[in-house]
Amino acid sequence: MTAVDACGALALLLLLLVFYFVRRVPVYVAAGAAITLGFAAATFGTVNLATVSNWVVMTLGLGACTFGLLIVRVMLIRSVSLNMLRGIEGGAADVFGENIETRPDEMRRIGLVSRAPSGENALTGFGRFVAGIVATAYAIFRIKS
Amino acid sequence: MLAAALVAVMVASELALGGTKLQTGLARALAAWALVYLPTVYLLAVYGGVGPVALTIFWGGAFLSWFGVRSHIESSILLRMLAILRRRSLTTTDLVTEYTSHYGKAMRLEELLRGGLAIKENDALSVSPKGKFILGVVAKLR
Repeated sequence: MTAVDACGALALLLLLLVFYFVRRVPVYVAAGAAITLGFAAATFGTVNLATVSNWVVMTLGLGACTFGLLIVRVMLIRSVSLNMLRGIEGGAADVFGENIETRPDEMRRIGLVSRAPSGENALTGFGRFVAGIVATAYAIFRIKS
Repeated sequence: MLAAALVAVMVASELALGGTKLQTGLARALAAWALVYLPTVYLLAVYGGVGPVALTIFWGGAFLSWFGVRSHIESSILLRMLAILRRRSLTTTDLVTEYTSHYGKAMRLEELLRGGLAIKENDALSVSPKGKFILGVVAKLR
């Protein structure tokens, strides 16, 4: 194992500890970025022509781990299916409705839709752009729309 | 070489999933990622100058990112609503009604049952041991 490998493994361990202990998303993002950039800065001086590929892959890998764990954290917080499962276990009242009814407001807040005078929600230019990407992704992943 | 491996594993994952939801076919998708990892780690070590530690960290991160993005695209309520609004503008009430009629509670419940996370016995729903395990993990990480 090279020094860059050891540093990369240590950075990953640090990232996993941060993921476990830091529950606030913005703090996690900042810490994850700091770990990845810290690794890149600390090891850049050791890189030469023969080891540059290894260093690039390691740095990209740490970035991908930071991003992947971020999505997992968001899923753990927001997943409707997980909330339903928790509701079934706890015998809680229906949590499905309240999860859905907040989404149109969220879309307006982000600027994906605007409300027409008729009261209808219409896609903004940005919304149409994102919806186009979504339609393409549905087609690629063979998701029924 | 790495980009080609990523394209290959994503195609292999789609073939392994075969149109089923990620929640249901996760084990098959994981097997596809493991299967493509083995030749990739060998080829990159021999021809690409990338060691197994770097590739393993990259592969783990790539899998997590793929899993997160794929799962989000598949299940996101917000993205579904965008797709509905792409067809036509709707009031909030109609949008929620349209969403729930196609992708509502019944469908989510069916997925939980199909994925073995919940059990239905005599019309009563309960969480399976697999579901309890997942809820336990989630509670520790949430």
